Amino acid sequence: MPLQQSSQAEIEPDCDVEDAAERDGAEPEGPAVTLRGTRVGLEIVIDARAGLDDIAIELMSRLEQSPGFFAGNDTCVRVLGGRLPVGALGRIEEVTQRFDLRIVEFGPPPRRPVAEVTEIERAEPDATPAPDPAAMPAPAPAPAVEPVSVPRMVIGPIRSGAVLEAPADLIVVGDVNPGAEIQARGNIIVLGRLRGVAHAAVGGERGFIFALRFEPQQLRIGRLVARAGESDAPGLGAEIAYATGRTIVVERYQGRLPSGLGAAA
Amino acid sequence: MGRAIVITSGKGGVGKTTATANLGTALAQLGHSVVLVDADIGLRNLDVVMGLENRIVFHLVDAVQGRCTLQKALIRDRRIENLHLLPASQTDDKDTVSPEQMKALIMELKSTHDYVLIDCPAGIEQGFRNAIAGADEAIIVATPEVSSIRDADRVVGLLAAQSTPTRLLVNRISQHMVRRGDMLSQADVIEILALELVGAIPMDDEIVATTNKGTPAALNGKSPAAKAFNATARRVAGTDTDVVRETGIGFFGRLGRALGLSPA
Repeated sequence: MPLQQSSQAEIEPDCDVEDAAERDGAEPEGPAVTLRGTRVGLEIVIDARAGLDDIAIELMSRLEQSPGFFAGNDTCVRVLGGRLPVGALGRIEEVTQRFDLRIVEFGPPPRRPVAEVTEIERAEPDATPAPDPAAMPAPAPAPAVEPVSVPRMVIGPIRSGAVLEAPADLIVVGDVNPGAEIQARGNIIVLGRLRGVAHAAVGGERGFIFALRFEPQQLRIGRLVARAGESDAPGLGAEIAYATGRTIVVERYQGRLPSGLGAAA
Repeated sequence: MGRAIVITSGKGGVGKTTATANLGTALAQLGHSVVLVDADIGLRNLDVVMGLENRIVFHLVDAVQGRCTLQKALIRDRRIENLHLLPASQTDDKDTVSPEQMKALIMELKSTHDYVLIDCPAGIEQGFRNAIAGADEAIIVATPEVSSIRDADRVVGLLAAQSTPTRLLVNRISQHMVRRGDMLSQADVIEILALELVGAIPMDDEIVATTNKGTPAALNGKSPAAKAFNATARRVAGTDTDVVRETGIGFFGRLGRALGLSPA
């Protein structure tokens, strides 16, 4: 668990706030509920513009067409066309529980635009703003009301001189080479070696940086800056960096977020 | 229609010009028609390394600006058949020529030669942009030093932005230094740059000697570096598809690595 020296510095947030909730107005005119099988399990796509009862009834009738077929499956719920009406989540859960389905993911429909960049769904409500200290592995994630921000996923390597910015969380699949800089308003996950500069929680305070191998030139979280110490040998295996008070701590990743991170939000 | 390959690196002094001269010589010895283009306008060097300095009458800028035909500016190497040099001008600046003009020039050369090797100047400014403008593919020359790799990484990013296929030539590997752990190995360089390796050239005093004489080492092909350049040329031409041999790591090192015992 190498601790890294840190000092405070002024970092001006330099990207604009992007409203994560503004991706309403997708294509309408479909059934209120659609079921899809995916690699990970069942996907329930719900059109939020349909009424509360329509959604519940249609979901019920579709699941009844093959009762038991989906039972025990991990399920993710996707919402089309804005937010669900108030109370809808409870109704949906009621129905899914009856069919022994476990909701593991909740979010807007996936968008797949530009070639290099894929955007994927957030897997679970985590450390970020949700004022939900009891966000343990509960059967269903609670904060459906909160607009789920969409992470930006980029395939690496991110090479020297490149600057990546993300309006929410950032996932890099591949290495971040020395001389490259990655910035996110949310958290940063590097599935590779982090050897450049990473700045999480741009314009904010709370966020973490995760990498399979930590050899960064510099870490920044919010307004804190940590430089790699001379003697800091890169730790073996995945590590995670987060801010506590006025320091940035890097520690071995233990398979879950460090307690300070989840609870203190 | 031939292939235009730019030899570049970002950093200076890593052996771009030497690599261009030797690869070109080796390709010509394989029977291909080759033209070497010195894109380092204002700081020409390739002619010196090739020993053709005193035969320059017209140069690249003359040809681009129409003061002579392209054929007239080409210098034929008398030692090997089918090897030509298009020298740079020593008195102009990099911005005397535009990327569009370079593109047209390289296009014309490709119609008459199998390989057009472009010797890129150091840096990522106008000279670099000119050199890569007409290239179909790129070979990045990097020495096993962090500064060279850092610059190479930047250049790979720039080439990727215009989707030029890029391969790596690791130059000046010193086996005993790698063994002592004082030098990055070929594998380290590949791992950082994440590129396909096209050749690995060992450190070799013969290169300095032959460069000063104006006779590319690959011409007679006896020294370790000469052999490595000839092997690289076969790989470029696609006649040799063997894997680049790992220099600097012994059998047990490779075994250990394969078993996951030593750090990759």
